[in-house]
Amino acid sequence: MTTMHPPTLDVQKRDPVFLDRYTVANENLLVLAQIYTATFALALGSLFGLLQTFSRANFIVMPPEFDYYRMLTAHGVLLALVFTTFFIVGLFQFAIYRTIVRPGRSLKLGWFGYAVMLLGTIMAATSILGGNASVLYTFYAPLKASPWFYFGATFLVLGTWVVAAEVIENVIWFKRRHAAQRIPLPAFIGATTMIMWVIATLGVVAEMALLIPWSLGWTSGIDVELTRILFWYFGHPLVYFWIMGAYLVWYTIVPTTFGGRVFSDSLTRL
Amino acid sequence: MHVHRYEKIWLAFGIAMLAIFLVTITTAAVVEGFVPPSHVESIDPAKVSSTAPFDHPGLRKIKTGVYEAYYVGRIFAWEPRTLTIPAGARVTFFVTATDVVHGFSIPETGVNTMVSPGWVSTVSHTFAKAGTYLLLCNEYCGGGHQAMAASIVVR
Repeated sequence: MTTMHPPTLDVQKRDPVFLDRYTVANENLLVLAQIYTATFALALGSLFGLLQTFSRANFIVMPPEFDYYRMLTAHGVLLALVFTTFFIVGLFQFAIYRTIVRPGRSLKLGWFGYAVMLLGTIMAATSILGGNASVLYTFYAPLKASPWFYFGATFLVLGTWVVAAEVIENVIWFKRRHAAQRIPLPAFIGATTMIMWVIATLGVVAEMALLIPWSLGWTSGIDVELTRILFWYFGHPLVYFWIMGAYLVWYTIVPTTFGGRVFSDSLTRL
Repeated sequence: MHVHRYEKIWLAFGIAMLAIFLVTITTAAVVEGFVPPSHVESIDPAKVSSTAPFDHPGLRKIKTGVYEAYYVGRIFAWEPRTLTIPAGARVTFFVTATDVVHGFSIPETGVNTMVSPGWVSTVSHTFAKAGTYLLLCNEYCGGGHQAMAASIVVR
């Protein structure tokens, strides 16, 4: 059994170290903020789905503000995009904080990223619930949403890029201090996944660069096929991030919890 | 890098499976022609109603048993609303949209293709069985999407 002990670089020698009772309250607070926001999005999106089911089954009558496509868009965006983004980002931040022990770590970048993500989510959610963005979570042009929706989606993604920068910064810090050591496996999975995330979300940001001026009326036409391809450039890899999260848990948290070991560290990294 | 024997076996198994799937899909596509309905022909979406043959959507007889059907999708209807086809006819559908993305779908036939403004989608089907077929839009296109339907009568 592990006992309480003060923060020490010692724990980095053991890999992985998820079971350590060593906690840094500030870091946990940021991770919890991410996970609670994800859970709230899941709860709200699920509630909308449930209400629509009851409404379709004629169990209840929904007020006209809760029309089917508006609620379906809110359901899809909250579950597929918002829930996934906050949960995955929070999980990998957790992996970094727990395995790269860094006393006095600055969380400014991490909190800033979270704030940008939250701002984007609120902008997009407000515009959907206001009935100005009933475009489903795929938002295929030339269905047009309010610019607020597109700005919101852009901020949600840009916020995750800030978090990705924070994750990479922590890994670089570790490598500078411990050149001879391997990056702890959970931190390695976290960093590679965040890099994959940035590559995948390039598609959304590129699409938004086309959609925002168009929705503001600055440009008149939109390339229907191009925007759809850019969406799926992101939408298809989106499912990888759940599997990467599952890999992190299977390969590091589960073996630690149940006293097992990682069968092959090298192959896991591969 | 040391790789355990068991892991080598699993890796080989995974790579072999990928190779088999790739060969199967490529063979099906190249040799047997299993490709999704595609849209390669373009059209100005603002001028659909004045561009032949979409200015007069409907059925054209090519020869006995072989037809072409021209459809235009706009929120929230397919034109023509009803189409009568002789039983046993091979029909090639040419479909375009004037406004947003629609989905051209005839349940129970395998006819199912996305229709984008600016492009002409093509899909063929042989209507062996007489009856009334439902033609609907299966790609969300706005507030009246659920009402976007037409019928095809085969007799």
